[in-house]
Amino acid sequence: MKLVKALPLILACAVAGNAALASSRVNETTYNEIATKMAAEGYDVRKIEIEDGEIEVYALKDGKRLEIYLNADLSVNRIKTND
Amino acid sequence: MRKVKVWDPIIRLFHWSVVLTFVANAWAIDDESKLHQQVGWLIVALLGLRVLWGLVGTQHARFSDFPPSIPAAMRQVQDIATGRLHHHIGHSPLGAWMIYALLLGLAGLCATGVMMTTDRFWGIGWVEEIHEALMVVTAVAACVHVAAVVIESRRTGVNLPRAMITGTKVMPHDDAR
Repeated sequence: MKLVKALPLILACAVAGNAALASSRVNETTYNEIATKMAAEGYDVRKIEIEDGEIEVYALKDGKRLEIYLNADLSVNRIKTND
Repeated sequence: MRKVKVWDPIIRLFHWSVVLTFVANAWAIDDESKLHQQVGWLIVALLGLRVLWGLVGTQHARFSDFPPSIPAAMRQVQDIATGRLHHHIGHSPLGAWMIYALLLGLAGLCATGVMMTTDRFWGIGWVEEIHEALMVVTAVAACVHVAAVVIESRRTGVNLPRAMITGTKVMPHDDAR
């Protein structure tokens, strides 16, 4: 059946699709540390995850939607605004 | 053989624009970039255009020309299984289901994408997760669509991809409906 020949193509597409979704969790201690520190600085912290080897924080502050990238020592590397 | 005009320029523009923008946003453009969002908005506009055209457009562009029908789809499956050739001029019944699945997938991607740019849903996990899941589902559906178009073209002897470029199906003289 020709569908059998189409299946590898279909699966390849599904795998390719999934390969793009590569972010992982931070451990609970680190999460709490970051969340507490940033809340004290006036951020509304929504999500903390590791993307491409960096800690990325999704937060709001002063009416802005922000992506805050942290170094391993939790200092701020850079901030991106979503506008 | 006879030539039948099937796909008007708006349908063809829509089809290939969606191919380009979906592939670009799914695989070529950085998810976190401004460009990803801009292309997303372009897809919103394309979907709006398609819905409008589906209501007031040319015959085979109209949703009324290809309602999602389980009995018709099953009849088409039977035809395929028994080797009976039946040429559909517009979307075939199975094709119709695929179109609606793709349109809904894209609509869901656009909706969740827009949500992620709002204060309310900024950084909210489940919105992003649904967006990513829909991307995989839509991508798989698109691959099945491509495979099905190739298989159906060979089975029925009508060059369907070509028809989506030129707008014309070159079909044998038979009971095409």
